[in-house]
Amino acid sequence: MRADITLLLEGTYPFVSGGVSSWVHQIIRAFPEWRFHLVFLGSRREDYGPMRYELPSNVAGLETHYLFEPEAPPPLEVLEPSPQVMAEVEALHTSFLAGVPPAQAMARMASMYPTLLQGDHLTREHFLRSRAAWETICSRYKRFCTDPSFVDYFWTVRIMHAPLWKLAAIARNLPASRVYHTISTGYAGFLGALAKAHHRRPLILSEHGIYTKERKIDLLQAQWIKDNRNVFQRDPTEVSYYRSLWIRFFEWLGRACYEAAQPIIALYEANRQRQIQDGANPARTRLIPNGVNLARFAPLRAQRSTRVPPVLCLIGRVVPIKDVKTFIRAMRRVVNVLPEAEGWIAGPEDEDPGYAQECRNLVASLGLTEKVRFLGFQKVDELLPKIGLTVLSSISEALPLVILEGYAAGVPTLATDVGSCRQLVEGLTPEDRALGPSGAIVGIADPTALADAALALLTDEARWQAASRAAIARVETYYADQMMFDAYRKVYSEAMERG
Amino acid sequence: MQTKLLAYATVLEGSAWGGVILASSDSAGFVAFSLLHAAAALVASLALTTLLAPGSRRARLSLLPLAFALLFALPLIGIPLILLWLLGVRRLRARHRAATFAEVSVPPFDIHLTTRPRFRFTGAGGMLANARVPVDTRVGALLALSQVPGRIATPLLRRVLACSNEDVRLLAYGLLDAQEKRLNAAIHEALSRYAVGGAERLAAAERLTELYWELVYHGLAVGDVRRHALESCLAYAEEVLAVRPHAEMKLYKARALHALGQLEQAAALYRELDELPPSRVLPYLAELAYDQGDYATARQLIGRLDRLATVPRLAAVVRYWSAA
Repeated sequence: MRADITLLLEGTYPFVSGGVSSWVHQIIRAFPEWRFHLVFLGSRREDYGPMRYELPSNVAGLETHYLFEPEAPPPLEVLEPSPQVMAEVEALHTSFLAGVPPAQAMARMASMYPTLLQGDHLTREHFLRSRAAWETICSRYKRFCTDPSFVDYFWTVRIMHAPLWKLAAIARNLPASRVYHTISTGYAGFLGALAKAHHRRPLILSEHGIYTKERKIDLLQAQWIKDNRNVFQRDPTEVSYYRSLWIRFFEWLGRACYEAAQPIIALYEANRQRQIQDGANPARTRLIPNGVNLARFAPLRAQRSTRVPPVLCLIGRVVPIKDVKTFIRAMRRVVNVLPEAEGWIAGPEDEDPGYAQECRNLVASLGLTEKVRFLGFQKVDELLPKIGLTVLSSISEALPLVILEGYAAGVPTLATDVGSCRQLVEGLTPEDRALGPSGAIVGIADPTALADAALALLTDEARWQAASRAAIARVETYYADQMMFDAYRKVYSEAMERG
Repeated sequence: MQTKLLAYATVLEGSAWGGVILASSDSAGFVAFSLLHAAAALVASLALTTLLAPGSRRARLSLLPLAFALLFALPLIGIPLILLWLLGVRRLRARHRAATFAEVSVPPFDIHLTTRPRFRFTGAGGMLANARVPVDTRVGALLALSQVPGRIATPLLRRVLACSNEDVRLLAYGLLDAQEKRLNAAIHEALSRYAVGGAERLAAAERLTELYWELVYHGLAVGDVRRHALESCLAYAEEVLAVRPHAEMKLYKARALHALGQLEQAAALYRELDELPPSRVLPYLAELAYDQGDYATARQLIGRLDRLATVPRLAAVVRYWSAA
């Protein structure tokens, strides 16, 4: 069935709850006049639970694809791609090497899309089983790989490339749509580039975090990536070959998406600059901040008690990027000074059960079992009237909806200096700053500073009230959802006209 | 100058050839020709060397015998060859003179590069703190820090958490978190064994003493969490000592008391540790005296340490406090 907008979603809506998923849900519901088709890309089926959202009635279809699902091996047969195609593949990979202008590499990449999309000249089986591919892998190992293990090189290259054929097949079979909209770069972004090439329809990119940056940090710390160099071969300041290979892979996927997308939307200026730094054409970039439904949250203000509850609440998924442990450590100090204080952690724990268990262990080892409560997934409407502060101890954020929701309910925030949190707390423009601070900002991974800032707000009624007033004024002036919807209506309409 | 010398050379060479043509080909004529030709070659060589830039004395000295040999060995074509060469050199010099020099500005003065790195054997501290150092280089320095003992790496990594570059900041966070995670997992495991009770309980308490101290020692616990870790370390050490007193556990207890600021009790415990070698106890006693402001005692205690028996980092302390 034909859709107006096809959303390309990697690891988020509707199977994973969180800020990005809430945003997607908001967007779909904001435009009942358009029909949405959803494409969910995941790692393996077992990594995801049931759907976390009830799909709005204007969702025409949902398809799920798992890129790293084990597959039955196909029958062995001799398959050889044409020498011309292999020469093109070789030239493409050579153009990814350092020193070649990115524009040249992008042109080569785009010229390979038809070969990939046609699915007969260069198939996954050609890549995985042909002698020509084997020889190419061997030759590139000898020329470029600085790690002594060929086995690791062979499997890294295969695992890295294999999802590309799956993405090509998904792109080929996508239902007709007036516009494609990807919510990240990465695999979903590359799928967007392929979909645009195949169906000749416009591609829009909205990035909440910066996918390439997040993958880079993950990869730099990943334990599963091998480094087989011995102590004499290894330079401790050098990123190992396989690590840098993976990082470059995601950088090029990101570039492919930036090359195909128009507009390229960021939530705030620092992220827009980062997109440009990673290859986005500045003329195509644009800012559209998040917004919240004021009518839904404003009535919650009346439900608050007159006294500020000494409750700090971290609303979010219990995952490492939220640095829940720093919040727990800060609670040790808060409770030492203000024994009646409590720390609540309201968010699902199933995305990273290992990390959630570590957080629970930390609570026990710090003797905070009576003071820090894990509430699981909660309805924010019920939670916000009962808390004194929303807390974000995250090490990375974009423009957190949870801060804006708290503001709309009159709850100030305490956040780390990441993403646009400083802009949300202290204001962006001079007029915005004149509203006053709607909470406090501290450095990342600094439990003492987090605790002291929380205590300063919770123990000073006048200060808390001033922050609450600033929060309400800020969200009403700059972050109403209607502003965001108007901006997206324009983006979609322009893209549909262009297409 | 060159013109004059070349004129002399031409005259001499002309005389030599005139002699060959006019005089008979006897041996005296040949000797006269050779002498005049050699003189001409020498003068012409001198003329050539003056074409080189002033100040290049070594180059002139090297060129002189070469030019002389060429001119002497190639009497007929030597002069035209040299003249052609001369012409080329003059044209090159003219072009070189016409070329404009680009202005090279003074590099900006970077105060961070002049500050002495705190971590002297890698200089990583200065590099990580310097926003002018390229991100990739700083990422490399961070990766190198992952190979460095936690006690040294932690303060450096903690400073990087305030870095304006998110990549650097997040990587530093990840490295710190990995260290903390390892210790917290061990603490959790020991706490589970402790909760089981029985024979395991004492061994688990001993392990917990060590692990909570590790958190403090590596700088992974700060603020109230540090205090909690120290109090836990102390409590578990006391539990072990009540059942099975031994010097190692006493040392943990003394260090925990010391770090908690209970200096008198710590000093009393340090003095009880006779069975441990002096090099393990004296530095803490000296540090404690220093914390109490008793510098004379600190000097005296450090003086009792054998310089050769101490680790390099402590050797520097011994050297400083032993100086007159």
